[in-house]
Amino acid sequence: MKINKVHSSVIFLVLISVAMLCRPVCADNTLTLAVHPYLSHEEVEKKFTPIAKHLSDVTGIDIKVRVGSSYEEHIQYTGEDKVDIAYMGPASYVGLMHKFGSKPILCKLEVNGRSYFQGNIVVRKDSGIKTLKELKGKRIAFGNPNSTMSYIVPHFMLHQAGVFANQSGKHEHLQSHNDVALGVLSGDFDAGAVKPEVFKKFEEQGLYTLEMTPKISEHLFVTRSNLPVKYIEKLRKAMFEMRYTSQGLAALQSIKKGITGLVAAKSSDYENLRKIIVETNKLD
Amino acid sequence: MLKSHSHKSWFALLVVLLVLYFCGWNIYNSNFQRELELISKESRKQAELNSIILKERLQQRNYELAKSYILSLAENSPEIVEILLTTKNGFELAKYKREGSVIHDLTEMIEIPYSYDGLASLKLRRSIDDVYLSHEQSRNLYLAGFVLIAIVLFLLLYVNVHIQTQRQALIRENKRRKQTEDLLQEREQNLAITLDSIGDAVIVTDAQGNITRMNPVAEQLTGWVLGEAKGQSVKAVFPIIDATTREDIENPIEKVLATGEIVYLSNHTTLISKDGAEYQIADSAAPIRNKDNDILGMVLVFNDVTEQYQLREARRDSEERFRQLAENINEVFWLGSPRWDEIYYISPAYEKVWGQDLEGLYIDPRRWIEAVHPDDRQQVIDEIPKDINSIGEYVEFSEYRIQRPDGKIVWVKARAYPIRDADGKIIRIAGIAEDITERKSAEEVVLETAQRLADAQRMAHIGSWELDLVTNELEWSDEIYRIFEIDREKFAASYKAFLDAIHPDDCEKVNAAYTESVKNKSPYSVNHRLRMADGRIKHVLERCKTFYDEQGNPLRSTGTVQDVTDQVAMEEALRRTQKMDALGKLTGGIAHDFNNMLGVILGYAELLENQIGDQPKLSKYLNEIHQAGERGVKLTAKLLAFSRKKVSDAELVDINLLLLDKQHMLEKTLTARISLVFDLADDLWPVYLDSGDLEDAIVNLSINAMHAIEGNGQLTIQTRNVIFKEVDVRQFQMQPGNYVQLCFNDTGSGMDEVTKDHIFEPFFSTKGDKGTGLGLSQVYGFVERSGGAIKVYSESGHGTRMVLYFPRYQQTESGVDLENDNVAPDFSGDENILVVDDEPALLNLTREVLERQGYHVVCVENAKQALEELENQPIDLLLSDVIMPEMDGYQLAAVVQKKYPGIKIQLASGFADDRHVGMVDESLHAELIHKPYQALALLKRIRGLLDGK
Repeated sequence: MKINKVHSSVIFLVLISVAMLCRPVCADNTLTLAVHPYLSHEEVEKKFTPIAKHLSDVTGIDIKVRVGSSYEEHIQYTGEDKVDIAYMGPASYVGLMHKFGSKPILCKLEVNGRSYFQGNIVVRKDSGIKTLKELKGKRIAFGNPNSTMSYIVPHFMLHQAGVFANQSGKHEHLQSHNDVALGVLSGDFDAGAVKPEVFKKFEEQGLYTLEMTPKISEHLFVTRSNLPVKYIEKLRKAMFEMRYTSQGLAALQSIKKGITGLVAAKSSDYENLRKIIVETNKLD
Repeated sequence: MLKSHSHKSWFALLVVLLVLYFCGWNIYNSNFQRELELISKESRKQAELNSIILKERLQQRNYELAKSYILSLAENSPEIVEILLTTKNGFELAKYKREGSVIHDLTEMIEIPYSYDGLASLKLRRSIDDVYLSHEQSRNLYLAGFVLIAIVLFLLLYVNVHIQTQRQALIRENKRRKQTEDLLQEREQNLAITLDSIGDAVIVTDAQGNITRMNPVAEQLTGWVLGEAKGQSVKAVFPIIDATTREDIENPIEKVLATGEIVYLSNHTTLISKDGAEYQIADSAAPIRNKDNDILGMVLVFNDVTEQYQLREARRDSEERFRQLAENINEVFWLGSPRWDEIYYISPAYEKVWGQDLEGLYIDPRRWIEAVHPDDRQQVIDEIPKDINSIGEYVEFSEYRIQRPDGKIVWVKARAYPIRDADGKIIRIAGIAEDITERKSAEEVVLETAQRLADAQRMAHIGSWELDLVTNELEWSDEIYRIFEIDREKFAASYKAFLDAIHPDDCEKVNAAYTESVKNKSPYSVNHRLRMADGRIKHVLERCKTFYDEQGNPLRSTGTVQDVTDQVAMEEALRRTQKMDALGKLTGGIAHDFNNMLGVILGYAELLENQIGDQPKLSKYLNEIHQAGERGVKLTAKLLAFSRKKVSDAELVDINLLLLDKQHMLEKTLTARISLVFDLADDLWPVYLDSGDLEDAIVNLSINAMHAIEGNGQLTIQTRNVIFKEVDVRQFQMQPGNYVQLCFNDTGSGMDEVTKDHIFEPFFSTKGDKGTGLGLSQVYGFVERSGGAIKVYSESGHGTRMVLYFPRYQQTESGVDLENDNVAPDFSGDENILVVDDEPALLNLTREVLERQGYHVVCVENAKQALEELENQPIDLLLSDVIMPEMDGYQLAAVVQKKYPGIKIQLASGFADDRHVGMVDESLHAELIHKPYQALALLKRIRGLLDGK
């Protein structure tokens, strides 16, 4: 009988623990919106609090913003269903899928009417370089090694073009897209990879696009695998309709200026990126 | 001495001041330079320090941080006005430039090598305006102190120098007074000499008007000497009156002394001298003032202008007379500049004629042209001489119209005359413009009346003439020239020339009729013939009346000539018809009686045959009688057919079907040497006639054609639907309406005119024993009986064309033939058409048809004349007959096509003759129009050709 009581207590505790692990939704009906630390914690929280509040108001589900300590932690927690909703970049999503399998996708960003983005491989206008192949043996500036458009995709393209064959050429990772553009313009680098906004910013100073990267689907929101369907549907509906209200739109543009809405997305939208990353990993 | 002393003092002061200034300035400047050096060193250090920080950031590739550092540096260092960080390739990595202008600056340039091949350049420019500002303030203070010292020294020296100067001035004043007194004395002497030398009279008075001076000219004109006049009132010495009214004029002395103004006398001032002589004078009086402007007296200047006055008065009278003349004439008179760009004078009649005010014209001298009617304006502008030297005695403008503002049109006749100076140079232009509206209206009425009369004459074919029996000058109207076919330019109008145009056989008759008429003083009318240059004959009716003076002497004869050729031709046609009718009646009567007799003969012959029984010899005789009777019956049947007394078995007939039915029989009849061609119209209208008679007619006409063709030849049988309009009545002598035309064209020997006149008469034959002479008369009777007509076109050696017309059968009254309605298509035109035909009647008819539609028609009778006309005038279309003597239509067309390729050609023929067809385009032969052509068909073809259809 005593054993039974102990067993019963253990079983109860295990069940509670499992329940706690499997259901991050707080007992008071609160969902977590996890965001990777692409800026300081305060800035990220400030940017995502309006959308969390808006979705809470519309769905009646309380949503709180949490910021990860690193990209790796963010992927880890999302993959292990420790957060309810996660906002992530396309490369992080591909990494998540690779490691933990697919997660339900709520939606992806639509920025200035487009749900994808591209990067520019740039040179100086007076450099005389017209093709990627001509960059063989030249100095290339990239951004953050985790950046889709400032490193992953352009690096893959340059590799495909034989730029890095026979260990020729050298490349460096600079702090920002702006540094990449300035490095190229100052003559310290022969080419670089930047996002279109940065290219536009420095185009008049003599920057020239050698080639555009393929279209990569925008940042997206996913949920944990076991979030009840009714929640997912409620959230999707609320997110899709944000573009139609001024409050919704303001909340979106708090994340990033230029966001014009949230649109449906599927994992195949990121297939081209996944292939690039798989190929890149083989190189490594 | 004093002056030299003063100069030295001023010089010493200046030297002291300069020494003070330069010493102070040197001390001040060296301080300022030291301050600038300190700032420069500080600036260099600052640049070096910044370059170390920037180098570190560039080594780390933190370009943005380097950029933001520069911006931060600029914001925290207000003295820095510009920072520029440039990479080795010239790229401006960071740039800052403070707003606002800097006058004084300090620039530091430092190179920053941040990698093996990375080299940046830092430019740092700082403002040192505040240092300069401080420097300027100190300098101003220094200068102020210096100036203060200078002023004090200057004042001390000035007071000393001024005292010395006053002394010098007093000495100079005394000397100057002495010199002035000497000068005044000399001027007084000069004034007296000057007054005496002046050509004008001069009188000088004091402030009371009493004379103080007079020069010799004044003494001469006033009759007073200075000794007598001095102290006298100027009114007494200088009495003046108005030359026009002889009344006293106010003496200028009073006005000048009262008002102080200069007074000029009027142009009509007469001075009466002491001895009573009168002088016309021009003068002026002016006050004499001292330096305080007080009036001291008056000077009166005058001269003798008697001669000029008389000349001026004469000119004024002349101008007044001219003005009165110019302003009272109806013509517009004007004077202007030789370049026509300025009006000096224009008479008031301009306002009446042009309807514009004079002032406007003076302001804008070309305004008169604006009122010229737009249709005449350019011509007037063109007639204004562009080169003034090209003007001869005068310029005569064409008559032109003025469109006045009230809408009225005024006709103007204008002339312009150059006015030259003694050297012959044109100094102005005078002109006169006359309102000729009334004359123009009258001319237009006369012209219109004359045109109407000419139109009436042309339409009636009546011309008028007038013979002046005193001068023997003959005047013909246009229509007479047309009737006589004489060129007005070539004809010397006289009674003899008129007689020469008359047919020689009628000349005596006409002359006698006229002579008798003049003698008996009674009008006459006479029919006579005219013989044209080409031998044609025209018939005219002439009427005349002669007018006499009071003594009974004949003065002039007026008369009319009426072309009655058509009327005579119609009378001839009527006569011919009546002859045929008479022949028909006669033939019919004989045939009828003869038929009766044959009936008796054949009846009794039949009775005898029954009685004779088996007497073979008598039976043989009886059979001969019977056969002769039967031949007689057939003969009378033919005679009856001609006399139209035959009983008609009329029925609805399709001629095409009948021809096709008889084609085989006809081919056999015509034999192989004659080629039979059918040219049958589609949708041929039905006709109502005796089909048996029609068959006989077809066989008769075909056999006649066969007999006319020697050797091989062709007979073409053609059917067409035709519509006759009113205009065709005269040519075809048929009622307007729809007809079916049946033509027989053969290539046989043809006929001469005499033969053509008799072919329808019974028993007339050209075949001798071969023919009975009843075939064509039978055809004629059948056609007449059917309500139709038959026309023959033939010429010896060129074939024959027999055309039969039968009225279209229309079943109901309501049947409407669209082609026969009265909607007249417009085939009119104004092109020049040359018509060539050797048959005058047809030529005239064609001319009339074409002229009614507005065409300009030239008619000639042979190809040679046609070629002459083509040389002399532009022709748009040639309408030519084919069969003509010497040169036929095809030959003419070939020459025209080669020489005048632009001329359209239409050939016409009454029968097939294609001997020269190879000389011209096939199309000309294919488009040949067949005689007799209808007016509508001809007009349609001609219009189509001219329009290029």
